Amino acid sequence: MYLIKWTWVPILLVLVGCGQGTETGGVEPVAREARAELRAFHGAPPVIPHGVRSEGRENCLACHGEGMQAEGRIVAAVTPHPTWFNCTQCHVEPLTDALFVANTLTGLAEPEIVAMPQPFLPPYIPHRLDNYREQACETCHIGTQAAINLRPGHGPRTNCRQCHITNYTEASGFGTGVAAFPPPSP
Amino acid sequence: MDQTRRKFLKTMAASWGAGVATQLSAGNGSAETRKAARDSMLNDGTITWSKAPCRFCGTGCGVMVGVQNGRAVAVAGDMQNPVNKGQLCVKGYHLPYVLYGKDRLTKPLIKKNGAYVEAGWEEALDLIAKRFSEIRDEHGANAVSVYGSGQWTIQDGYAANKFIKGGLGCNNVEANARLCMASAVVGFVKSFGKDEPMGCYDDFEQGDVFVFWGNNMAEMHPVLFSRITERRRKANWVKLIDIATRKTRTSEASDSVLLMDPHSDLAIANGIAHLIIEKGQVNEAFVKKHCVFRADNEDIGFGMRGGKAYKKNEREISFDQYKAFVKKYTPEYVEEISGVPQGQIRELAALFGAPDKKVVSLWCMGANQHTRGTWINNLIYNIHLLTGKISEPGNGPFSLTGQPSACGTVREVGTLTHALPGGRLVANAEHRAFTEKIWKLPAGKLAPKPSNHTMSMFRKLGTGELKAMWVQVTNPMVTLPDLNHFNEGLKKHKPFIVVSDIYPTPTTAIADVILPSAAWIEREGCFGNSERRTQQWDKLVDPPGEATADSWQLIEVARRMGYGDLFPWADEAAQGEGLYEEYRQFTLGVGKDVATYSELKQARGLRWPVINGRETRWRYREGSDPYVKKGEEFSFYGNKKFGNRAVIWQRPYVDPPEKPDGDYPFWLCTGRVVEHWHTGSMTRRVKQLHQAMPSAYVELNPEDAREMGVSDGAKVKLVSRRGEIILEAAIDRRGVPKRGNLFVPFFDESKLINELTLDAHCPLSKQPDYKKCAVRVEKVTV
Amino acid sequence: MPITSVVVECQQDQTHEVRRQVDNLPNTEITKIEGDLLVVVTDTDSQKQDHALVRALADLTGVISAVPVFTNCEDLAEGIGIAPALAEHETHAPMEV
Repeated sequence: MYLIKWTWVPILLVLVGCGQGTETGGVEPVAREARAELRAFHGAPPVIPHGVRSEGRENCLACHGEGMQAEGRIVAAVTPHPTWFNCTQCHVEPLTDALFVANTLTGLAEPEIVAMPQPFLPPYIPHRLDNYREQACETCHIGTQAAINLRPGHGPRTNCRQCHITNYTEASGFGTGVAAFPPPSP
Repeated sequence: MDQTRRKFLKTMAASWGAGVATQLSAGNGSAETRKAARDSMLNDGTITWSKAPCRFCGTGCGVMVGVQNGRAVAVAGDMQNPVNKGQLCVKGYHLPYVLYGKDRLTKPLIKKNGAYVEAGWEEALDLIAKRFSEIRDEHGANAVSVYGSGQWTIQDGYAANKFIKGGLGCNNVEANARLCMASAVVGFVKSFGKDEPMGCYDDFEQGDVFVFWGNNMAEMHPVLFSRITERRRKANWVKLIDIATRKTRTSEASDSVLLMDPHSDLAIANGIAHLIIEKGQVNEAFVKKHCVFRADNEDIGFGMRGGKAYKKNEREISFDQYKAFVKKYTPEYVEEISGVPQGQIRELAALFGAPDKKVVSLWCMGANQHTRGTWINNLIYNIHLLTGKISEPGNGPFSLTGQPSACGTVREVGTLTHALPGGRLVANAEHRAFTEKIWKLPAGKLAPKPSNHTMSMFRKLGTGELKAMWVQVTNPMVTLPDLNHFNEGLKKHKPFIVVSDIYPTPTTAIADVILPSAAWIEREGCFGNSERRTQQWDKLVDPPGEATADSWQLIEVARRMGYGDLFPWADEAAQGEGLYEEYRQFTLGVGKDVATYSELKQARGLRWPVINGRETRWRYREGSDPYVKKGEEFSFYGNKKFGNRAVIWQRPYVDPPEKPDGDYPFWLCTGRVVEHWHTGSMTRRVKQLHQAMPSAYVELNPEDAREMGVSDGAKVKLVSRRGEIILEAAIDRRGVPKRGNLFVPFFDESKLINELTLDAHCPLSKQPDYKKCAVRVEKVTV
Repeated sequence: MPITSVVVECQQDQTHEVRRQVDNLPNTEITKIEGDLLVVVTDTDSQKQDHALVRALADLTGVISAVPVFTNCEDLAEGIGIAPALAEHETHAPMEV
């Protein structure tokens, strides 16, 4: 007989740093900074932080189709939009450190992970989801490629969005965060 | 489980849940606190998001701009915009940074004793008005000119037209769209009597075959290209066919590549028409009911300085005469001219000819920047007219536009020397009378003759005939062909030059007065994209320093020159809607009806003609186009003089004016890359875009390179009859030219490839050919 | 076999509508209403059904989230249902105190 009292579980997760309650909400600052480094602002497509020998999408998918992990860190994130054909349309590789002319903008920062008012409440999704297909959560959160501190502290649930919400307002134009590209046929 | 135990457990569950719920509702977990926690993180009250069309290409993607503390800090694809449904390209994703390069122009600058000195607006505007007036009085109105842009808003273009044509009374208004879309415009007008595509982007989800006629769509209209590749993913019979002089990302994604010699598209298109006729695949009923055949003089020169002039001799011919003309374009002959294997010509023609295949033809600069650009546009239309594959969902020719508002502003507002708003012509007395009425001008005020197209304007600046030019939102000192020639002329005659821009460029460097402009969302405005969709955006952030909207600047000078009556809107805020709504009157009833300003504010753009709030998706087609009467099926109502029929033109292959020879054995082609917009003045100031594509290079074919002993990254010198340049060799990177061909992108202002290009243009459209001239390659020893 | 209680958070003004939908779901019973929170006790025949019912509650119109706070299952044969991959790599503490 298994009697699971769920309020206790999240408290444990808090203590182990897998849930909410710590200053950064349990996600290591290093991971968040790394995320920000690659992006012009929160929501921008990451630049390619490695050399690219061949531009074809098969080459990209070789590592980003399934994802790769090493020593507890995500080395190659699984692409959240595997059906999109033209990777280099949005993702570019820096070839130099130099600047043409400096720029004074600091783009929108990665959002803070807010401590939930009650520990067991499922954390809100603290990042944008446009351009992510449905069920893209496993990209960073589930499986061998997911950093340990990003994995959920609960069981075999596969419909993440049932409990984890984004709740952008209508005015932001993001809707529920799932892009329907391309537009449906008339 | 027995019932007692079950009951016990349910009671336990219920009371546990109740305890949690009570805890939640009290204090920290109250509904208000929970909502506040959600709102604070995800609906950050300090950011507002508003819609705008992208600042860059003619696709016209919708973006949502995030503004925080008065600055644009993020964008997202606008999921509600049907053009892109939330997807962007790498340039679009970095839009906010475009506004914040460190060297933004913030104050007017006047050249005094060889140095630029900051000045107030009053001083600068007074000076411009004074000089323009003096030059007008001494040399005549035709000595003054305005050179604008396909990146002008509709409001900017309309103000320029009214100022110069209505106020000054001369037709010296041109725009850089002359260098990118003129051939498409004249092509449309010659074939259909009216400008702009008959189809729309909805075609991309319905076509079976997509043919790219010399355009690298994967890099230049990436979001639209993604719609096409997505179509193929879902409908696996769909084929993409690339007709090109070099292999690009578009070729990589295509099912078949026809590698052609430059300029031979003229032969290929005729070759396809030939096969369609030979195989009996002409849609006879369509041709009989909806087409006429015409021919023109064919020995018409190349618009070169001192070269042969174009004399028109347009006349009707019969279908039989057309068939006789096209007879010589056999697959063998076409292979001889183009280098494309006959088999591929036949395959492509079979796809065009198959009645059950819906074919979309797409093209852009490869066809337009062409000394026979008008002809090749007509030739592509010929194929679609012969087969009746036109004005039908997923089935028709689609001329892609390069700039965000070459359509909306230059073509529709008519900021070209021969044009008036709403598709009207200065040479037409009725059109002038209509314009004079709306502009409240005395009859006869408008000049009846086109004065100077762009190349003519710049040539005359160089000879001293034109004495003043105001340049806005464009960079001709990087983009004019044969740059050295123009630079010489400018140095000699020193015309009075005013430049409005947002950053210092090689063009601001030749100015007498530099004016700081508001960029994109720093002022309200409207753009019109490739699919006739007019889009509006509000002012979302303040411009830096004292920068102002281009339209405001034009109006202020117009006032000072005594033309204030033309502009009854007191300030920038009133000018946005005021200029647009007055312009709108020109579009009504002539098949170009644009939506009202308030409709545009609410919508993610609307495709004209908009009648009773309803957009038009396919023009000239009964049921879809409100201008086509019941029972007509199709009506090309721009050609009333031809009984509302489209024209199939007899257009031959001719050699280009400069081909490779012993001294200059390579073809030079120029173009763009996805990371940079045009001359890079905006995109190079964005770290991610600059670092991904830091400097220009020359693509060589790997076998050519090997024969010359040139490896990737080595420096080589390109020499043409007009100039020379040292560039890094790019071998086997994203583009691989055909043997004997080179490609150089023009985004790098420190590598002015246009010093080598040829000042030759299509004699009908006056658009220069940036894709063909002859160069030689020399190795550089360190 | 599983008996679970779920705290369902409703959107503002939607509590009534959610209640109506829950009443139409089998194997559910609303045992408490606290503002915009409902406590729903479920009684299903298998782990699979139990999970499906929690999902169904979350998918109702007007529901922000549905979080199980108590579950009891007495059928060992079905197992506890942790996915094998997670079972290998999870590093946090076991479920029970």
